[in-house]
Amino acid sequence: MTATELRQVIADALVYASVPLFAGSRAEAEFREGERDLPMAELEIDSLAAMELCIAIELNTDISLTPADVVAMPSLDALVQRLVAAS
Amino acid sequence: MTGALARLYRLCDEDGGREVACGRGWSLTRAELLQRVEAAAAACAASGIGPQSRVGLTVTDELDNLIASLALLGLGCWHVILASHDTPELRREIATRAELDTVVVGGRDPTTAGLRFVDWQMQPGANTSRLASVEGGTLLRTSGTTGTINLVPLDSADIALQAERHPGYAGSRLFRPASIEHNNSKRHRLYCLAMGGTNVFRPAGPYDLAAFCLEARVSAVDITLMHAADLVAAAGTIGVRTVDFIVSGSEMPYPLRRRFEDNVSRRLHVRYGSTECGTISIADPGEHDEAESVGRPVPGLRLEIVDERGRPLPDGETGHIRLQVPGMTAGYFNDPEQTSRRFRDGWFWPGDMGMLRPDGSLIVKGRADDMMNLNGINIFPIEIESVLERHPAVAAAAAAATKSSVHGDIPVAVVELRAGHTVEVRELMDFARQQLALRAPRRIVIVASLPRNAQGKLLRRAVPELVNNARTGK
Repeated sequence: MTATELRQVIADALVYASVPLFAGSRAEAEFREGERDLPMAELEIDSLAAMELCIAIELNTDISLTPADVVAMPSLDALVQRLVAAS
Repeated sequence: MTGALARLYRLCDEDGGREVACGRGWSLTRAELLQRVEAAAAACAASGIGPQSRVGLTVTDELDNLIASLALLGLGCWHVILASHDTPELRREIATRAELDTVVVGGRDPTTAGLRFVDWQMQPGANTSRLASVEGGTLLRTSGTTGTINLVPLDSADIALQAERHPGYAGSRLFRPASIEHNNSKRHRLYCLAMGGTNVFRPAGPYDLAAFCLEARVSAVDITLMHAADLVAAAGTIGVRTVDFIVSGSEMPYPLRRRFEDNVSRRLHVRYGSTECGTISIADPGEHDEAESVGRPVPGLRLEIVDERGRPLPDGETGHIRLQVPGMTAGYFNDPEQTSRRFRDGWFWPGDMGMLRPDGSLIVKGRADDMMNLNGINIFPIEIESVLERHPAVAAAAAAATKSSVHGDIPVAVVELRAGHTVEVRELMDFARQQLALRAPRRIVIVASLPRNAQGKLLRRAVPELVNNARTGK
């Protein structure tokens, strides 16, 4: 998967999990376009949202991450880079 | 212990002129049927079939098959059906598994080469006599969803005990579109005989169900889920609204029940049972609701919902179903491993999960093996399927788990759309999410048709691969 495709997977998962600071925001649109990175801490991802993110990543890439792995990433772009490297 | 054949004799002694079986253009009384059974038994006995024999049956004509079965029960031997709808390989496997060392009765088929054949049709003028009181039994083949075959031994007394759970058969004229070569048909045909009802057999070739029901004065039709869906789909099915329809298999979705009641017959019964023990419960007309209950367990049957360790759970909690009932098989033929898994501590464990409501009605949630565990949340395929099937564009759905080393099971689903409908996957995802929240499928794929086996049984284990193939473009 390309970085652009992975961004859509991550964005879709965050929308699915109804992450309030992301879903429907301008930040979402810009992240999808690759124009903006978002620090994990700012997104306030709770454990359920982290689970949904892991599930979406696993279903789309076969890469298994734990919610702790995801939350420990500094930003969404860092997550994208890790997935690109692993795939 | 009174066997099914002994019961038929008793009924015949009471009223031998009563019609016991019929079809288009023919009819048999109890006395006539028993005469044919005795003739067939005499022919078989003359060929050396006795209590020690284990006999394969390859008779495709339904009445002949019934006669041969009763004759073999009367000779005290065990028989197994080698069905014409099975492949030769499968017939050969069943013949081997059942240790058919003796004879195959009726018909010649390459599967059974090497075994001795007996033409069971009676020669005219031969002497017949009332058959012995020690009856044999039948090995019934169950068509599992796991791909394994189980042979379930039921002796004639078991069959008679199972029949008692169907008092309604006494006055009924029972029709089953599925051939008597199928295990369910064989059992219910025998139940009907033992209870004093009339078995109605289908005419040769294509026929119109409604017209035939009227013609043969059918009072009850026993069908599978697939038949039920076909009947609902067939426009203009009228004239059967006063006929009782019994749908076997516990998984009749509520929307289908509603459409069946509206389009086919209000007299809908949904039956839950198993070959091992017979009928467990029936939801009768007026007992159908969104929860998809299968009704209260039949009288004489003890059913409990228990946890993993066999501790009973309170009403409303979902757990393993286990039961005790007269007429249950003692275990699988030549399969101690499977027997010890399903028959434990004096209980039969059908392998289903369910819950009892305070009114005593049972809701079957699905196979214990199908239960998904997503990070500790127990999810049953049927919950997902019944939600998706409520979407107007969806005809049918199948859900299963994609295995995950992190989450355990990730629920996914495939759906078959109604003819002429289209829908975006995203809309289905949102629809499921709104109603199922964390229990929702995380991926849905639209397929041309759901994976099913030759008997029409849903093959949930094929779902994850279909879902994965859709992603990788296979």
